[in-house]
Amino acid sequence: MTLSAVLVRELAAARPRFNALVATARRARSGFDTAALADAVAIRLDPLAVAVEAVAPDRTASVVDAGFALSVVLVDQALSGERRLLVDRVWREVAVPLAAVVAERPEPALAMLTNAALKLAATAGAGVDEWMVRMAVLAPLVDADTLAAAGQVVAWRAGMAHYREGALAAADGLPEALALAAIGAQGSWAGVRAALAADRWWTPEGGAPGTRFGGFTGFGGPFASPPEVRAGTHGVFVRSGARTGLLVADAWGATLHPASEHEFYAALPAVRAPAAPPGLPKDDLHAAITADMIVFASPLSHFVEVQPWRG
Amino acid sequence: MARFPFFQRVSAAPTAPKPASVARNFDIADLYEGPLAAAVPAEPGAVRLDEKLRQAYFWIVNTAIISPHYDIEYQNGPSPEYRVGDSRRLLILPSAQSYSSYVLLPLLAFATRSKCLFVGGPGRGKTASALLMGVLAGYPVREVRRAMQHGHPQMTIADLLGNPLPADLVAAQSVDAIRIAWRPWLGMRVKIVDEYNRIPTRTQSALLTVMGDNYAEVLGQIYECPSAAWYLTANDDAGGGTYQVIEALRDRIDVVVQALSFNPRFLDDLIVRIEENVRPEDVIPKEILFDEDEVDQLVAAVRAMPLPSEIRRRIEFFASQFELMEPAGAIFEHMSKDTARLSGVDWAQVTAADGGRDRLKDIGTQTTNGLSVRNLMTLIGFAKAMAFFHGGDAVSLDDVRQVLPFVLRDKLHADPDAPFFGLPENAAYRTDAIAWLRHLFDLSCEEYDRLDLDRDDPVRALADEFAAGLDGLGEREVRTRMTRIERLVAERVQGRKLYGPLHDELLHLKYLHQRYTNYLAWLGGRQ
Repeated sequence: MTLSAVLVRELAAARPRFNALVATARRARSGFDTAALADAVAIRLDPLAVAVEAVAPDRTASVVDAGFALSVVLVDQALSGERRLLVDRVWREVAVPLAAVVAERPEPALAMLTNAALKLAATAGAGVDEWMVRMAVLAPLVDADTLAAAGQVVAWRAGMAHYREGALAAADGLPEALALAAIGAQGSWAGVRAALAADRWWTPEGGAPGTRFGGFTGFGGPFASPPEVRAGTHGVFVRSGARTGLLVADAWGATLHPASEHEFYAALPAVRAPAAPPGLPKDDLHAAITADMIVFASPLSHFVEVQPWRG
Repeated sequence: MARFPFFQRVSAAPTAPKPASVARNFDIADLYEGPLAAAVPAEPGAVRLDEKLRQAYFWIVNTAIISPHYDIEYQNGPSPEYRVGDSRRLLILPSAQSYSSYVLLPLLAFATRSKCLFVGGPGRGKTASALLMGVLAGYPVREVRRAMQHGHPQMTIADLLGNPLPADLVAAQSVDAIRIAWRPWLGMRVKIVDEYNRIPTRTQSALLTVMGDNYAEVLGQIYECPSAAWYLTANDDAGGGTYQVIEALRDRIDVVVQALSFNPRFLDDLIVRIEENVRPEDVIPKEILFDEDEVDQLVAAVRAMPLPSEIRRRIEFFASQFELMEPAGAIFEHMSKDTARLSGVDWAQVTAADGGRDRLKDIGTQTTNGLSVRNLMTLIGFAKAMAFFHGGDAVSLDDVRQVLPFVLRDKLHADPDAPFFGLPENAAYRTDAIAWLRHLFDLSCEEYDRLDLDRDDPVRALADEFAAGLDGLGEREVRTRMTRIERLVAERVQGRKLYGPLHDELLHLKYLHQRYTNYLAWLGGRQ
């Protein structure tokens, strides 16, 4: 794989330091994959070095230095193939558009983007692709001080429903244009915020119809058997096999969090479903109903349907 | 900071994941937690102390100690088991998070400010482990090294505690006026005494005062030491060494851990240490260091860990097994091993007279002594610490079972002539004290279950009734209760051999009867 002249120059300049780093890593871990490191340098670091050179040439050395060290750590972590590809993508598709931000604070920015992408990918119900596309689109509005909060707000919008409160607070600290762009809204942030806070199903495009959540573990989903549901104060408790979770949902998605068996049985039992949502078998359909959410579950499906409830 | 800090990687929280409580507080900063550090600076005080203690444990087992042995096993479901070798010893692959006693017990001693003895052959890392504990308490490595007391045959009390100032010795008009240059280690919150069994007997006595009563005395001058965790090392567990360790000093030690052998399959890790010139105590991550306030909070949190009554009853039942020695006393209260020991009569002579009981079934016959109050307090303290470390809500039976052998290792002495040790299948228990003590506790629990004492314990019911208070109790009710006690005593003694738990039950009933008798006398005096 051919490297750009920019990266070749920086690697040559810091060769003894980088060689020592790799030697240390190889000694510390007998299975250290030097081929994976070579790929990481070519696929992730090279485009980033070129992008930074274009916007802040005096920072290229710092970015390469941080990027190389982080790549060594990531190779040492021996990420699975899929997760490694995701890191490749987030550096190329998000860090490159954010080159000016990365140039300013290379190590925290790259670590933040990498960790966030891996977290989103590991969270059932969250859309990491959506997050990456939106972060790239927001790049012209983001600086080093607003990167963290912008990433959090966009993560909420990408399906991390449990971040709702924190994301609203994070957005309050952003410039109005950035906060609105992160949410995908127009007008005044105060008005948008009030609408979001008042109704979990509100979106700038209108009321959300709800979401479908779940899947069989054999196909990568979270449920080993068709889930049972019960209504709790902070969401809906879901039990599948020996595992219990709390389903938190809003207009932008749903996420599942560990809960105890005790919490499940202390919650309100499901009732016969008042209606049949499309996509679930009608037989023996039950629903857990909270103040603003109804979750349909069927003994014949590994999915649940989450819809707004205005009872 | 090293750009590739393998030696400073701390395990990500939570290290012992549990379902969150009902009141959830989802932290948005969690988005940036992942394989790469430095994404967002951690908020100070964000880590819970039990989590921090676990992170310290995992850092030590994953980074500092090479080839840990996971001999404290927890199960949360079926675990694969294998019988190995001619002895058919059991190898278990535990289904739940299990721990290395060599790392965990010293950490629990740190969390309870107890006294821990490292034993094992030379070069197995006893001193290095003690040093790590000192650094965990926030002291610089150099300070911990300098404060470490190294036992040697010429060690004087002045070497250990401090010297009188020479000028004062000449000029002072009274002993009170002599100032002492106290040794700095006395003021530390982690105290380390290396090779304590090489200290001369007289100096051991001075050490005993510091360990037992937390003060030092030289020429009538007193130095009050702060509460501290103690770490002592010895090459010989049996009290041998250059000097015999005085019994009182051995008794002050709360827990004994053995440095197990090095597994040569981990030689590559050793090579990294050499090539990188890294000593674990020099690279402890600051995230796992505890300041003084945190250690105070840790100690308080451990003390506050509840001990459920059903667990307490099993500890009571276990402790009841060992003190009884029927032929040793002519008075019911004096029938104890302690009476036999204090009499100076040969132990074999006393045990030979102990007929009637099934000496194989009675686990009390396996020891030459019983448990002291100090032993029980230490056991409870460590069981609480284990539960705290494990992230439990209360002490579990497993917590007690795991810490018990390490607390009682040097306290409950096996009687090698007991019939139990004569059985071929029990031969290994003569040399493996930890396994023997754990087996002893298991046998006690089996007997407790057989007697169904969780559900059917009339003595406990009478004690609970008494504990409800005597206020307003009339004479008639008191006499009814006394009659019940007398009936129960008569029932208990009828045609039954006397075993330790029964002896303690009868003494408890006598206690209750006496309290009611005194109350009755008081009631009579009022009328």
